[in-house]
Amino acid sequence: MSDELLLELKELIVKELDVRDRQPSEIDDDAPLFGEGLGLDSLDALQLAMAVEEQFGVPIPEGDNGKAVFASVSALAAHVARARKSG
Amino acid sequence: MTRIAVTGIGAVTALGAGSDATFTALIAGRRAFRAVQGCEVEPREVLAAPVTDELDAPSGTRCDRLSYVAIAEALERAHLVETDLADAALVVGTSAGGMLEAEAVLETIREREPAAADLERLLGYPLSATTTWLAERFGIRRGTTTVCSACASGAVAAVLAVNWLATGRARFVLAGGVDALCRLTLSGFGALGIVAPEACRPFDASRGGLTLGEGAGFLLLETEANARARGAPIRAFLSGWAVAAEAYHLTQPKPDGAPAVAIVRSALRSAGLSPKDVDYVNAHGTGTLHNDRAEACALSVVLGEEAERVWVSSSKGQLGHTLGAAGAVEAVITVCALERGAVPPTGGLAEPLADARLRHVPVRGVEAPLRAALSTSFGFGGTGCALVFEAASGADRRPAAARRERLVITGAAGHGAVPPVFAGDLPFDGETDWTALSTDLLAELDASRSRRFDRATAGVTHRVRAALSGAGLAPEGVALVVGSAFESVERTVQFLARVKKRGVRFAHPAEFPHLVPSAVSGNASIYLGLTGPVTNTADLYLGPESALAVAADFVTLGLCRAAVAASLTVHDPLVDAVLAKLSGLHDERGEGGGALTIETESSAARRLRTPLCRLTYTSPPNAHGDVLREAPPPTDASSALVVVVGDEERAQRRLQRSEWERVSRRSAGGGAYEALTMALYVRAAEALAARRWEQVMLLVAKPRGEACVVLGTAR
Repeated sequence: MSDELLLELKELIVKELDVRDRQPSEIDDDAPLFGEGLGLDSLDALQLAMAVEEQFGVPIPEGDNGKAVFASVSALAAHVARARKSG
Repeated sequence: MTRIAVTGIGAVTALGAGSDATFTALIAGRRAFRAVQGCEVEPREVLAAPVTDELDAPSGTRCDRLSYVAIAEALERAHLVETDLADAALVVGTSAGGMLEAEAVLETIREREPAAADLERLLGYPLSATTTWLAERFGIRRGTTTVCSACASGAVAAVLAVNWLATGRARFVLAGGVDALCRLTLSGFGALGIVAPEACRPFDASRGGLTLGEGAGFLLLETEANARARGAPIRAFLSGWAVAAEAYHLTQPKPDGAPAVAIVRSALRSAGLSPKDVDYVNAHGTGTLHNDRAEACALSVVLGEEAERVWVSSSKGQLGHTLGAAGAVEAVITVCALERGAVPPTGGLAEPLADARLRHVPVRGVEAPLRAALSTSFGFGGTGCALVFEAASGADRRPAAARRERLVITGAAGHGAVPPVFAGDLPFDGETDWTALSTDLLAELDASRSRRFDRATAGVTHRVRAALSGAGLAPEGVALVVGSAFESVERTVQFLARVKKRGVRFAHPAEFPHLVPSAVSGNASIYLGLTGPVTNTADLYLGPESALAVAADFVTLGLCRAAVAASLTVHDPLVDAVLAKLSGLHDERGEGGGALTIETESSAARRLRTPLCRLTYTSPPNAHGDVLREAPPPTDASSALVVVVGDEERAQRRLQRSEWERVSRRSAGGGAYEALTMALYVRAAEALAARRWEQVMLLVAKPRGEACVVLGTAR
């Protein structure tokens, strides 16, 4: 997966989830997005899923599969890259 | 005080216009769901519970008319005549108010200038518009309050009614709630993914979310003595109540239901009842995964061994979730259940959730004599409310009312510029003009805990924090009442415009819960950890005064250790350009406001705090006629001050029949922002603490809103 995609996703996270205390580049590729880490919650998960689908045309699966996709920015990027390739 | 009697009830729901029609359909197990037009983009239709009956009401917004029908029924059943209404007050709970009429204009307002007819549709947009319309139609003269605690609004309205009666401010109070189906709520709840794909199934193991409904419910309340004296039929007693906030999450309840346990226990305690005395719970039961699990757990904990015996059902499986109306509609249903000795079922319930064992009522109602019943409500923002009703035949078990205590102000924090009416005033935070606050309101809060806060929420949060800190108060058990004219209209417009263009699928889910007017108080309570009653009051012309009055009521009712009243005006492009002018607010709009903490004199003494001043008197919000009538005379005219906000001639007319006429008077001008008087109360509290005056009266004399607040030095 490209660094470009990682950065795009980080920018999306900062913008869509109103993360004011961090620059996109300061988000760790592998740090957990929810709970600890960025401290995101279930509302943020819905918002991020909607935004990823809108910007990349890639839906986020519901339930436990969705949780795995949202584990970190790199997991999310891998999901987006995979879906784009197969789409 | 004698007990609070319910002498009239009225409701309009998807099951029928009238509480009888609604209750009969409930018992029969009828469900009122059908497809309604939701959005202009696919999917166009969504399942809901719309009111389909013709409404026998004058022309107005849908909320106006739904309320009108419910109130007319309540008045008729209570055998109330028109002249009685001059002695009545009105408390309305709602979460969206006139949004249905306004949203069609708002969603395109950025693209095209609204026509004159469109502007008229926006007149119903402020939450208090329905309240004002109703008060005029019915000739209600003792005052009104409009309250928003999201989905607990209608129940909180009933609690506020209690103090109107306890203090003798009104002989009768109409308390209830209303909400109409609209695109904002249909798309907002849809975006949150909590709308059930099929009709909702509260408390079912395989429940898939809520189904929205609409309607109105109102109770006519009076003291038992008043009802007996006029020979009115007593349908039930409102004998217990509790309101509290979870301070946990904007949309999710604490999973273990612990705050709900505390609320229900506290309501039972206030009624002098134990679970043994309760026969039925009309639960909030929305049908969502989280609410129903937390609530079922909470009820099984509170009821304990009695859980096997006490009936539990949710009416939302038949008439949908009516949001701000729900608490009131369900209070009406609970009264009907007590009166008729019949328990309505939970529509759609087949296999009860396994998390907690409760005595559910599937499919159809059952006949059972009921002595006492609970009605619970839980809203976004975390405010929950429980009401206890007892059958009219029940014995009086209420503990004797506590002695009415004097109220004091122990903390005060202002923001923005104020006219220098109290000698020696300096501006707050160095603010010298009131056109805009120069501080970055968001920068003062922890960024990760204040995501999505708008400027109003941020400003309120840090003024409340400052007032609490000045008072030396920890946030636990403290109430918060935020009074405002408008919330962030700009954000609502952006949300609506996006839904119109792209459909529910691309609506902003995380944004929607922040658009509920009570999100300001809810967010602030979560940020600061306030767990007393938390609510917003919406009063176009007297925001600070209604916040002050309601906060004082929460303290007097013993629902909290202390209460914070807050009000802050900030710029919003649409309010500034369109809504303020439309509503007859001043053209010159600025920013500012503040927060005050209120507690009893003995509470401050126990904490060894010297109060800043005493809160001697607050006039009932929106009372007609002489706002000074019940104000105490000045103790010493030479050391008192009257500050007039608004029209001086109008103020003179009010003062001329009062002993306050001899007191020196200063004008604070017309009020450059709605929350100016809150900043003035803060200034007055400081001036009284410094003993520059012995007493200060603030007299608000605006064409559409008059109020009077008296503060005095603490001794």
